[in-house]
Amino acid sequence: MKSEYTTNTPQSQIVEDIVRFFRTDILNDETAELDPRDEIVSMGLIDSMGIVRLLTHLQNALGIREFARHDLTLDNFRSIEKIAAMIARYCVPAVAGGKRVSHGRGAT
Amino acid sequence: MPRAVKFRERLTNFYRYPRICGFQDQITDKNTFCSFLNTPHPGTKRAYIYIHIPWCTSMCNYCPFYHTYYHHTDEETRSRFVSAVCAELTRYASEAFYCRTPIVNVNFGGGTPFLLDIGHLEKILTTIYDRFTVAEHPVVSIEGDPIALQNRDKLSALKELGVTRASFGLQTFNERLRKKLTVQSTGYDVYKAVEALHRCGYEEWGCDMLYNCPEQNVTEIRFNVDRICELEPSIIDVYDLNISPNTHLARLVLENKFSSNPSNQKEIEQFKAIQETFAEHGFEQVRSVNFKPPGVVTDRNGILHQFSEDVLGVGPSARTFLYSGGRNYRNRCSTDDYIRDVESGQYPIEAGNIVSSQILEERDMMLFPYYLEVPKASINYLRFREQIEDMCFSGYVEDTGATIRLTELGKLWAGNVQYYFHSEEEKRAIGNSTFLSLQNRKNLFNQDFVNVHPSAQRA
Repeated sequence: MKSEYTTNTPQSQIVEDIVRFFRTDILNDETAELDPRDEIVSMGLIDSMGIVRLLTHLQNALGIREFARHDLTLDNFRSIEKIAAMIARYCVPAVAGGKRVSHGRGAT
Repeated sequence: MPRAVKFRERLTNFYRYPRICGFQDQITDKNTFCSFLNTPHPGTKRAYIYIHIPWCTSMCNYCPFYHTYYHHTDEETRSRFVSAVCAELTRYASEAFYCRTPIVNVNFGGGTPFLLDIGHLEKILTTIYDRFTVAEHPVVSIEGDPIALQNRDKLSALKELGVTRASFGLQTFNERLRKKLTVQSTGYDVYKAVEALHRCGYEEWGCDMLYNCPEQNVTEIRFNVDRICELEPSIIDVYDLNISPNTHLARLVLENKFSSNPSNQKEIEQFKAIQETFAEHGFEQVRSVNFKPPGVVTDRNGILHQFSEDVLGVGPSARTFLYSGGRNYRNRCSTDDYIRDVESGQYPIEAGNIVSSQILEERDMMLFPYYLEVPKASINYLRFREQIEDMCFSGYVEDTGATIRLTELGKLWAGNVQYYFHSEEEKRAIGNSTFLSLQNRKNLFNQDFVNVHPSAQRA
């Protein structure tokens, strides 16, 4: 499965991607102002189905089938910044063709 | 200085506070938890009884409430179940807490309680009438489905037993969507059920309607409301579709099996259409999710007041909230486990929490948007003043002096206003419950496997 993210991907780019996803897919508002440090659950920025859509989006972007269960915690999804930090742990080294060659910490 | 708040993602309405989470709120010492039953009820709240009958003839794929196939049970199991319900009721009735408390409302929900044999329903009602003190004219309500409710003999027999009201899930008149939501009945069944209710003298009946379902649009929503208004129900509940992760329906949405998916924007447009169309028919919005026709008087002991009264839940997965006992709990979400606990002499409680007076204040504040308007004297206004002022400043609430009420904008964002009044601790607990359910591949509502896709269960 092809991954959009590798260990060379800057965290800022991952954050931008997640912010973009929030704007278009969750909030339906391209101009919505979002601080990556905002507490997304506490502020009611996302509901349970939104969380699932976000997980699916991130799994697809990482080229993984699912996140490890121990990573599915409120703390890891507290803010966009925190999500990006968790994503970074799943990134694999870039190779020709961008294909995953190892499993990282997630299940595939 | 009040804070300007702008809501963007529309949240669903909340009816329960605090949450009950099967992972975080397990009860290990039932004796201590149930000690409140040794003290007589103070009589400051009305007493309701809710009975959960967990069987349906179809498994609608959007439904998170605990239910299993009726046809997978046998008469012996149903008889044992009814005996367990009667035993649970009898035990509660014998406690000091309930010895003189008049029951003003009995509500059969589920599942489809109307499926039970009339003899079983009579046994449960007789137990309540014999064992509890029951008010002179209680509201007795039963949930059915549009196919089952066509049984006029049963409707008449239930009326003889004191049932005063019936309700059912209508959801939508779009037959194609009904099939995709695996609803067994058709729009024609809805009309036949309503005809049967009228012929059997049920002056009071209600129905549920869903919006923001896959493939729904404003045109369909307006059509649904127009047809519902023509049927003249006493009350209509409108619910935004909540799709729990790991369920069959979630999988269909994520795999793009529908021509269009629900969205935040559609939810907002469709709720506005619901409000406008009901208003065109002269229907009044009486709660954040309820509309009623002009002239219908809502019973003070009725369903619209249940969240502010003492509700005893009986049966598997049934929820109890007792202001008077400071208790919030849920029964076992398994018919077998429920029967086993009751037959062994235990209260079949699975999870819950002891509710302090502080949390009761938060609950009352959280419920304000559901009621649309509340007297300031009924809440701890000083404690929540800053948040109320934020909501007023932001245009969602107005202060009339004696009351606070939702503005028209606030009615659109009622769930968000409710969430604004949640404590940070409660928000964390809800968030944790969501992720614990995700981790364990369970339905968020009761942290069980209802409608969870088999492949998710095996993962």
